[in-house]
Amino acid sequence: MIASPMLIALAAGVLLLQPPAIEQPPRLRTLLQNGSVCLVEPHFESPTIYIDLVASSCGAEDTPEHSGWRHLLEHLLVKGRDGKLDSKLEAVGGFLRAETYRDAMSVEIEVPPDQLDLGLSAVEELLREPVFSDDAIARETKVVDAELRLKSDEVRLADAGWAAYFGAAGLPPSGATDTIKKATAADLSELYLQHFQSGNLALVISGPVDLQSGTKAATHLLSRLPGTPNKAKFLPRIAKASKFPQASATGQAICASVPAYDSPEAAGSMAAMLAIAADQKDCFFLYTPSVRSAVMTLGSVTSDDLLEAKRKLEPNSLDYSFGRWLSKSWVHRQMSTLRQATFLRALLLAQSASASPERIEQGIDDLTPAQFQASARALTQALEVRGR
Amino acid sequence: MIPIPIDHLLLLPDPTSKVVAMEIAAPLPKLTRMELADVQVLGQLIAHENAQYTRGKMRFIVAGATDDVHFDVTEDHLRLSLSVPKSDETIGLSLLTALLTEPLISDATVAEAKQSLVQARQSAWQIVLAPQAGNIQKVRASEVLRLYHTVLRPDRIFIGLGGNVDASTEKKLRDRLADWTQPKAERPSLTAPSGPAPDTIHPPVQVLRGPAITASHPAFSAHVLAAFALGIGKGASVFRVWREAHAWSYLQECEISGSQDGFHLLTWLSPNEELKPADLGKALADDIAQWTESDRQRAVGMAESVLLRGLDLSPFCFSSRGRLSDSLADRTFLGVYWRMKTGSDWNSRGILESLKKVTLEELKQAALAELP
Repeated sequence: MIASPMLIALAAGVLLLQPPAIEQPPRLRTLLQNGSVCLVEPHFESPTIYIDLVASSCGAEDTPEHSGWRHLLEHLLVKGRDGKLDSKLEAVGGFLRAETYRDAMSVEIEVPPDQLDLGLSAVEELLREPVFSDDAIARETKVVDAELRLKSDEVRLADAGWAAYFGAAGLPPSGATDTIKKATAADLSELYLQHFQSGNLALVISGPVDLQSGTKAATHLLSRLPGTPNKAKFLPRIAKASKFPQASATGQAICASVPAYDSPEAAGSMAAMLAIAADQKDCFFLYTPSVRSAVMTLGSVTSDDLLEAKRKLEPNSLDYSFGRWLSKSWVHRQMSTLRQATFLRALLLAQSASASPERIEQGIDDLTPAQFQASARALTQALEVRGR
Repeated sequence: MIPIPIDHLLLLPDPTSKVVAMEIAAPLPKLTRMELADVQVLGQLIAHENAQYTRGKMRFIVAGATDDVHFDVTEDHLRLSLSVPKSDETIGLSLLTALLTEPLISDATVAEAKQSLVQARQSAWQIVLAPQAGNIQKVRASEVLRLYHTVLRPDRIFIGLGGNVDASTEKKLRDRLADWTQPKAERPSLTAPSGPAPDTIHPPVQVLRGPAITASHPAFSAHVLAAFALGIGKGASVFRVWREAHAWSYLQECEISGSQDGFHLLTWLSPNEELKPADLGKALADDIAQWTESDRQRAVGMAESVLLRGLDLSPFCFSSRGRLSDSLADRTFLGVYWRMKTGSDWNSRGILESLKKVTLEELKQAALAELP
């Protein structure tokens, strides 16, 4: 089925209202009738084209029985149908990366400026239903198992916070060895069809790419996919009170449950956490922007002072302007390279066609002192995660 | 007055950047283990606070561009690193000056720095790449002060200013450092005893360390290209021969690190102790023998992406934290480190052109020379 694209110019309708423009708008988002979305953002000064395909996990979320199956699927899928996807890209200096998150799976492809077609052919390959052999599954299961053992302390601390707040709805996307071992080829094929249904997909292309021709190519690629008449919804993710958990990791962390990425509560928690971090040694801050409830983690793998600082926290002493400024700096750092910006844009678009990194910043801009104080007070009750 | 030598201060402008990156590379002489521990404490306390700026103030100054002031110690250099938004260039230069000229070296600050270093958990990269330093707990303030006077001298250090910078940025920094002097350096004793052995650390991975080679060596380009062919990308030999065959995950790659003797290729093995490096080396040698022109072209293609297009897979690993990225800070550091190490400018295009001239046979010979 060929779907008719519905074009939406983000630059206040400039593209549609003006005669043929000399200057193109900064980016163009296209919503397709089958539910997928693409976005093209020209950057002619960039020496690289970034192509990010992100599939929302809506309808394909991890469950206790299937924990880690998406992670295994990611490993198998990105090898390509003939196992040569990487070598095809690397032959011209291209590269592919993939990662599994709770709310999405992302595949980032970067290619030289004259290799857009090769990059898109790689995407096309990923969008064709794969076939997995038992041997390939067995081998990649071992690789994933090795990866799990190398999981960082930062992620282990955050995972403990997710589990405490959300239980089975907050399983680590890396998965668990015992459930991953049970996945069969049929299971993974079924999971692929759920995960990569058209309504879950966002394709973002950035770099030295013409807005119109890039959009046309991306639209052509996605519009071949069948629609999803009964699109699944995300399972509810409701934070619940919990005992302070212990993590099989070194360090300690404060974990806060926050609603959607553009909410005042998310902006407030981020600002308050980063303001606390400014006075601490060797802190890390982990947050993957989500349109759903999620966990923000402020932790340290080297310092024992963080939880003590939380207990002594006087919410009124945290500086609203400083926290807000630190939050904006954090967002800017997530967008500081074209590769990062392309990824974040695709990650959010896959979750909701109206989601964008600019809305994170807008949420911070709109944060009031009262909302900041409320978030700071809430942090005094946030989860404390202790390592070994 | 000892000015910063003209060729020790590099401007690396990037007019598109909104940030100013400030990078210091201080060459280290050959040091004993205890002296390396002294330098680590020195770096830690300099990056923590100084006479002008508290820890909170330092983080506030850099927060618009990075998360903190960083330091790093390897076998051949001490790195200090900070970035600020262009609008904060003046206070950034003030902070840089204070880092260099006003460290707080006392029993109390040394004790605090030692505690931070002891608590710090090292990554796999750091365990392999950081120098084998002596027992941090035995470091004394007087020795840290001596190393400060020896290592961070205006006539020795190299400074890189990258990003949104121009000649006025350089002038401002030169003016600030014009009066900086250090007492006569006491050279570290090359015959000093090695000091107590560090606590035993079991590296989570094994590493093959190839022979030293200098940048001026005729085969240097072949060895750099060998790093790409052996360990950069999923078509690289170690990925195919080791990772795929043994179902390992991560760290099967190849990097180039600096040492007192030049540069070395480091080829990463796995944590699996049942497999002997010699056996793994044999498997790799068999693969190298089968390399064809397409392997060479893949290596050149990956090199072109790394050197000209900023692919974040650089084998240049002049840090204990792992490979250098394409960030402004790391690009600035690479420029200043390369000047410090070779006396010449980092030239991505020139390096790429020299890699393209490496023949398949030269590539194979260089790669085989890296194996045990």
